[in-house]
Amino acid sequence: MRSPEIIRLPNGQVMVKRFSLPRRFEHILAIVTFVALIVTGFPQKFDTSNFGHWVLGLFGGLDNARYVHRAFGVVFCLHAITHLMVAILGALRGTMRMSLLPVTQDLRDAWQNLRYYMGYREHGPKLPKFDYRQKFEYIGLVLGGLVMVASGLVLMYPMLLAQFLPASLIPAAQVAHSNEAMLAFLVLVIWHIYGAVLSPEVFPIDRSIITGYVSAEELEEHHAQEYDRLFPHGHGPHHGHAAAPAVVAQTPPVAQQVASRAE
Amino acid sequence: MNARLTSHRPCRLVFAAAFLALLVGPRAASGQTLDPQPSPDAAAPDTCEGCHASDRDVRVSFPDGSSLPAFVDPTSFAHSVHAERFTCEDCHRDTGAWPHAPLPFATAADYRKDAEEMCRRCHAEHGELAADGIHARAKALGNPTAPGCTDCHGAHDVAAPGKSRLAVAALCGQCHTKQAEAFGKSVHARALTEGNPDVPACTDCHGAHAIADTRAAGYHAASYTVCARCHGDAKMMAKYELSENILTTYLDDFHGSSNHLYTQVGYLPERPVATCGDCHGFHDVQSIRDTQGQGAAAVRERAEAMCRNCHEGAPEGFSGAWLAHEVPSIEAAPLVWGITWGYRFLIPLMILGLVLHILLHLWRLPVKGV
Repeated sequence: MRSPEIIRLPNGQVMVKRFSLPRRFEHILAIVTFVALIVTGFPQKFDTSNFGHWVLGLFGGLDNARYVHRAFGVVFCLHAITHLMVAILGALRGTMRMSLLPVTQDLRDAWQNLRYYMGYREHGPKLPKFDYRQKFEYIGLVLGGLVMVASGLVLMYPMLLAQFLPASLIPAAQVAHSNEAMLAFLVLVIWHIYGAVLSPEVFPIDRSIITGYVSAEELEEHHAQEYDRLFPHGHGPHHGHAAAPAVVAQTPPVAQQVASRAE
Repeated sequence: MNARLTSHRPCRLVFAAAFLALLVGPRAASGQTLDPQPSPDAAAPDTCEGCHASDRDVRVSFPDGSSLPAFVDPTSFAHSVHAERFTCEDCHRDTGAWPHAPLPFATAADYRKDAEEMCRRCHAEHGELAADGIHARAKALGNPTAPGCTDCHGAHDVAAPGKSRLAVAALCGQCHTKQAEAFGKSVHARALTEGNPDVPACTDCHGAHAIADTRAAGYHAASYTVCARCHGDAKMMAKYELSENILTTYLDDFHGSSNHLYTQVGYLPERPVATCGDCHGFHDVQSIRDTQGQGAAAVRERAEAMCRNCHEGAPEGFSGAWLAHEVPSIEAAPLVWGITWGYRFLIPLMILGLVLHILLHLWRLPVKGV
């Protein structure tokens, strides 16, 4: 298994690569499509809301908003297909660790972490690169995304569906699309925004998805299992020693940017 | 001589007419025929009735050669709502005493147009409303057959409002023959003839004075609100054992929600989206009880034909997408019902779990130290 890139910033801080460029681009794409779909979709769901009427007015009416919604829906759909293809191919070729797929360890981690939260344990469990909270959100996003794509396509091409399947699936798709959107929105604003922005552990924001790097200290604190994997015992990077085996000595240009943003 | 008609009660009118007969009698006997514009040196009549209530052929002529009948049937005026309140000159102010000054109108049509001003002097509010209506606009655009006040209400025989709505419908039908014929076949018309007080006649949906142009942009999309006045009224629907959920189920549906948004947001649909009348008929609304007798298959077939009016080439079974105004239930629409209830549990439970997890995290943080 390939190890992630590890760099040392001019100030001595050791940074571990967490997200590759395509993943960071995907995140930005997801933000843009999500916001566009919510802004054009929710006024249709909450069709008695005056605020919703105002928003639809900004788009020049319902028809325009629906065109925008469908365009971003298609973008989301293509994104979902590409993402899954990349993940499946990566898994088949063995080039990806599948570190976001849930495993039984996650159940144990969740149980131990909750016991720790409630004071039954001194320390939390040593969590992997992506902990059970992050995996829950990722799997939820993928499954919810599939529901949205499938129901959205039904609503976009109802007559096509009715040629092959019972037409009663069309109103079913309508309620599924509407409710799944609500669920996704709530999980996002409550769970993701807490985890990545508001949680005192990362506040004011977790930059790793923007810069692509996480500091070794953060990794040790929040993803100790991954830290131990990268920096086996006794080879920790932040006790004044040169480096763990994987640390890249020279500072690549991207790390300069990282450093300037990190300060 | 006082030209003003001082007596206008029916009994006095009869008296006046008899008195007039005495005056006019000798003239008629002397072989003089009543000229539409008697020469000034002819014996002057005492009252309006002297000419206008006694000679059926009396006419007002205009410079262009057109003329209007000027005969007023004394009994029809006597039965009018104005009879006890007004005299001739209250409306015909500028006519003056005999001999009449020439009227300042070139044509009969001009006179008629101005005649509505007489009504507006008192009925200003209704005049304003009518001025916004389709009939006033048609008239302004030069349609000579577009009706004004008197065409519907009558002139000298003006009736009190609250005329039987059946009579109103008949009045509209004089010009709108096609619509009246279609309406005649509707469940509403059937009940109307039976004296039902709740079913609509023409004016209940279209209004009486500020009648909207049904071809105007946005009228179609908003037309469900007209039906909703009654069919969204649970009390009235319960009275006739009709579904109370017609409006809510329509608004929950894609079509209803769309038309609601088009109406509220104020931008018009690129393609019209089905509203009540597209399936049920606009004037020839049929009773659901009639269609129930035809059996489910026939109803389904009819519904599918309705779908194809807009969804060209809709495949067989496409009408299954329409919940037929049923509130989703385990019997009526199990799939929709199941998904709705699934999310009703899933969403709050999931959010509750996540919020608890967040709160526990926050609670533990100070112990651990950030």
